[in-house]
Amino acid sequence: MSTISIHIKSGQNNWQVSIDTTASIATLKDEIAKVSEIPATNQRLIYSGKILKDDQNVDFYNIQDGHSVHLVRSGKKSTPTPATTNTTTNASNNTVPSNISAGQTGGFNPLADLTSARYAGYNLNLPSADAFGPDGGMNQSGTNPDEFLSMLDNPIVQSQMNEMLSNPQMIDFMIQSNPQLQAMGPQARQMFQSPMFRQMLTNPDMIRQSMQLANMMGMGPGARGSTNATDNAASSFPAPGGDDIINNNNTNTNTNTNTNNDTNDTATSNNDNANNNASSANTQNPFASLFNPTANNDSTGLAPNPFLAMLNNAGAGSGTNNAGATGTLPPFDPSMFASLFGGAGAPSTTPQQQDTRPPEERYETQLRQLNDMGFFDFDRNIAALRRTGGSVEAAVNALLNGDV
Amino acid sequence: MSSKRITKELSDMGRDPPTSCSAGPVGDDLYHWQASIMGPPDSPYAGGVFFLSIHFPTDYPFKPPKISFTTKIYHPNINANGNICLDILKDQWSPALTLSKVLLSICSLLTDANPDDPLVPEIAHIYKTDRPKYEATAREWTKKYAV
Amino acid sequence: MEINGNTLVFLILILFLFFSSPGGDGVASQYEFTQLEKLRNQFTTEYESFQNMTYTDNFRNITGFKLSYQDIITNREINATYPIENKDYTHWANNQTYLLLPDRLIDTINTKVWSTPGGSPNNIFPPNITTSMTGHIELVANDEYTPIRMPVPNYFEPPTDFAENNPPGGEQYYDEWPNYGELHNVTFQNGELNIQVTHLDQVHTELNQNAKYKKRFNSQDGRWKLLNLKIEFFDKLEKEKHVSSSIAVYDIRRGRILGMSQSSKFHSLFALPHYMNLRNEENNEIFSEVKLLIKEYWNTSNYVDTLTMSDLDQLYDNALTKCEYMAFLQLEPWSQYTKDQIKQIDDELDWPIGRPVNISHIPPVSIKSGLLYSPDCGVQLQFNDVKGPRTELKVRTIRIHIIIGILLFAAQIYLLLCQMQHTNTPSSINKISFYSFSMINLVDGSLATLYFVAASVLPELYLPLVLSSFLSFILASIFETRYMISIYASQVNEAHVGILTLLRGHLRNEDDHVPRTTIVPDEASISGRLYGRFFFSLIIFIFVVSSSTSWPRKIRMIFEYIAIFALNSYWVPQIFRNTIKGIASRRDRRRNNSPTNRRQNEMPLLWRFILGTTVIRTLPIIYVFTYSANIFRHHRDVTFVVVLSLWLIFQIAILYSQDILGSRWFLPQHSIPEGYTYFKPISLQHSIEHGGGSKDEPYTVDCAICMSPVPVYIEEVEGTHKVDIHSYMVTPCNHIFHTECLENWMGYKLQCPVCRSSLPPL
Repeated sequence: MSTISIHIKSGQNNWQVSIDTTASIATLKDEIAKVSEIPATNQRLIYSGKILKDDQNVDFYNIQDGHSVHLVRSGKKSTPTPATTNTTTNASNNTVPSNISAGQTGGFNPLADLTSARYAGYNLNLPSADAFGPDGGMNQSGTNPDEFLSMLDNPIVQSQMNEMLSNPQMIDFMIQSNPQLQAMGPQARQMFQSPMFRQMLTNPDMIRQSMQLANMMGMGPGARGSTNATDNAASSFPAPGGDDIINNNNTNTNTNTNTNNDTNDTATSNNDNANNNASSANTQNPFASLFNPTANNDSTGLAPNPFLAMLNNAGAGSGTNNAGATGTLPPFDPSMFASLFGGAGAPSTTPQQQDTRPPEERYETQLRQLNDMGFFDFDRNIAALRRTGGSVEAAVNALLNGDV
Repeated sequence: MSSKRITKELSDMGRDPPTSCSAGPVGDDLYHWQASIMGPPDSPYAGGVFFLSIHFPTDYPFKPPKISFTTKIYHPNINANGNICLDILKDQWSPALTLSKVLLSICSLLTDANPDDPLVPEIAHIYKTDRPKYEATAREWTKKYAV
Repeated sequence: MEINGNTLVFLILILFLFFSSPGGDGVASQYEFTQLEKLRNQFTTEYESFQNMTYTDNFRNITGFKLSYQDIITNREINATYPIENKDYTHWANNQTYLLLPDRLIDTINTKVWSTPGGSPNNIFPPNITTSMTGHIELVANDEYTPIRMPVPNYFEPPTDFAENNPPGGEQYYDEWPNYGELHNVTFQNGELNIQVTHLDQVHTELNQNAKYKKRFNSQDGRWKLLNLKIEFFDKLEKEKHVSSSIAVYDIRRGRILGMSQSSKFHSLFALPHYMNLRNEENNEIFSEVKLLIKEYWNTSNYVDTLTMSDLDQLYDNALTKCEYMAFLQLEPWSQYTKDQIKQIDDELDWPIGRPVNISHIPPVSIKSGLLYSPDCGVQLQFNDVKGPRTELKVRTIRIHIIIGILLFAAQIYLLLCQMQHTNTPSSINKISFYSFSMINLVDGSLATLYFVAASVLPELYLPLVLSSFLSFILASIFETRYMISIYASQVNEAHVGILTLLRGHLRNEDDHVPRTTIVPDEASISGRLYGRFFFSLIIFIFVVSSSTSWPRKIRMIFEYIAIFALNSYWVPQIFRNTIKGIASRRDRRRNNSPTNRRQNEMPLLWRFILGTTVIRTLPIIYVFTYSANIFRHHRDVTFVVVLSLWLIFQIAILYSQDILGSRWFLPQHSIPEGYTYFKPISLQHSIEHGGGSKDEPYTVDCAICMSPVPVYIEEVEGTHKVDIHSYMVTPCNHIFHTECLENWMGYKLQCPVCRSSLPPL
């Protein structure tokens, strides 16, 4: 009912804003945005030790006249580790880093030439999309591991993989795209560069073994998700903080009024649910979690990831983080492939196999998913799906990039 | 006596709060406060907002308040439960200290940790031997939990 | 370890060493083996001779009895051999021709000692006489009798050469030894006597000393018993002590005891039948009964086969260093009881189940008359007034005393806890004297140790002793020491400060410009230090006390009196400390009355504690020194007790006077400057410097504890003169607080809240 004048403090800056006590916090943020040039979506207001939520009124928090409110700029989760070149510029990038190949780096896209190569008819013997299931691995509804493994036997593929692994940019890209690796820190890079590791990745038998392990592990880590090494500072991957993350996510969603984010978040929650559902089941698709756009949101969805399980085991057991991780190069998880082929999954495989059904039927499930995500333009969707050979993930990418 | 003092501190804090700290009662209970500390700009915790829970004893100010972090933070002197290893919160407490001064010293603890008397020895070890890694992890955690 | 030749040899070596250690009889070499063999053979031969002996036979080849008194006065240099020419071995009479005793002595025994005829119904004697008797002893004659020569066989001698296998033969007479007579003579006229009587009812039948293998041997248990006598006598000044252990025969019907010591020169076991029959009553009945007793004892215990090397050494040692003693005792009859009653009493004492006997009124076992004679030293002594309670009764009395002691300890613990609770602020702890409590602690600690040692020495009182020891250990080592740690911690900053400065209430010398840091006491190191000091001084004290028991009596007495006097001056350090701290008199305290102030300004020690502790500690001393039948057999000295009590009362009186009149009333007023006072006016400049207050409240200072303004008395400003000086406090570092605020804080720590410099206590 009354207008009060409050001080806004942010670092070195100090502004004064008048606001009505019945106004909402959102309004207050807009007011602040006018004087401080900080967009309201980037603002976090703190008074009396609490974060002010947009949907409440000023008098709900009992802000007194003449008192000070602290302002913190919030960046979204788009800011990754300092390995990349992004710092504050990305903080202003509001797009949800849902795709692995989303323009996080804005630079290196190892698959760019693949895409064009595909158009050129160049057969790269990339794995057929069927290897990842009809939806390109988005859901965990089945996989063809054998076909995948047979692909590995192809010496061309092997040499290509070796090349890729020796490319430091590629390694950076992989690390950055996989938040678990990010959390591991500098060890991840070392690991990738060690020849033994590479051998593991390219050895089909190894992969077969580890996939079996992945199936076994499917039960184990699921249970331990939240009770993991709380004392294990750096090695305990996001697992123990799951709640916090979810909380943080929630607060993020709350403070972020971007509808894009909302849709992405729902996509997140969808995939999370999917993950959760599948984690109890004996999943055979270890890559699914990595195809998950917000895979860094690991709560109990870690089940299918034996890599993580291994690391957690080692971490919890030895009490040191990276020592354990590097010491036991575990039956490594072919999930690494997921990051490799994340983009590679996008281009379709043997172009010989033509599908003769009408596009609506052919891409039925994918279309549904795209709709859920918020892409309602049918034509664009179809075009994107066609372009990417049925991969939803890449289609989304294409849609966002405006390629279609 | 203690409620008078706490009320006085509350009004002082509202009128003239320290730069990066904010505190206030959670609900109606004057003895249970919630505080927030903004990560100091020159520390790996920059950009993060850390929440703390504060309980004042009934014989405040003769006994120190019980302060603990509710936000997870990667720091040698703060453990996973949020307990803070700070001498003025234990035997070096003095009734002349106010909550804002205590919060400020916690801020300075964030900037300059005390690895020789750690609450989490592993982090202290990393702090002493591989500082960049410590900072990286601290930033990581800040981003994960405090942003 | 792999089994190969080396390890095998090693194992065999170990086993060999293990199994070749001395067996049950302690024989460790061929030499010793031969020695033991010879001893056994000698005993066997003598036993055979004993077996063939009848009432009318003289001793033949029993060692020590080969000569009679008559023989030695006929020929002083005669050798003890068998057979002696012209000696009559086939008859017996109770005179000095056949006995070792001179006729004079035999008459004395028959008329004065064993004078009552046995068997009369008036004379009922208790069968069980385990007791510990005390009394007096008197020398009757030590140069009137000719000592009988008793040789020691040579095979008892220890080997002089490792290679020797065979001990020497022959025997040696030790009266050629120059000091013989002096060492073994009793030279004092009157002395004290202790006799310990225990029953020999069961014996080991084998070398294996397992208690399960003890067997009873006495078939005449109602008429005759075997006893172990231990007789100690010494002069009053304890310069000369004699000890003699013997096996004795107890004639229950007549109340007579005959004890004879044994050694390698005196195999007196075989002489007991003849000597028991000294009065020659009922002809051979006494003789044959005692002989049967000895035979049963000998056979059941396998005397010869169960001889060990230590027995051999013991026999040899006794022969060389001691006189042989024969004790003739006559007990006082318990005529007020019937035989059945006595049996009931015995059963009840042995296994109390509540029979209708009045145990506390059992008369002591007393010796009506007794005579001690040494045949080979020629000494005659007489017992006077020897009596003692039954051992079981004695144990009961001791137990009751220990339980009373336990109650005293419990009371002391309770008082100490009250006291500790009373002084729980640093100011009040500061006023307590560290040395007072360390003296109390020393006594408690040494009591704990002594009780613990006693528990292992007196197994029948194990439980109460261990309980006492435990309680006093808790008291001393846990409660008192923890209290002392907190006292020490609060006074640790005064270590290097002179007395005058302390009197002034400051903690640093004023001319000392070096800023002394306030040591924050680290409890762990202090407690380590104090515990170390505690145990160290305890060990030294106990060592000194226990070695004092072996000093000659005079020095021991002096030491005892001085120690008791010193240890009972534990309030003196507290008086001293009160003077230093300068506690106001009761009147002044009542004037400056404020609820928080009161606790910190008064005498630190509760009156309950002072009086209770003094009483608890003085009671045992009073008991020991005034009760003549006390269990320690301490002499009576009422004077000392009175002096000690007066001294304690004097200390308490001074403490009381300090409470009422102020703790420095006996010092001249001007010799000590005033202590630090917190209540003073401040200057205007000071009040401006330290937060001159807001516009609406000038001349106030903000109290850092409650954050509200403190109106102060400023000298220059008239308007503030109505402010009560006692409403605020000024610290030595010139910070101002409300009185209640700062007093409250000083209950936790004596440190200025603003600058952390140390504050003098209130």
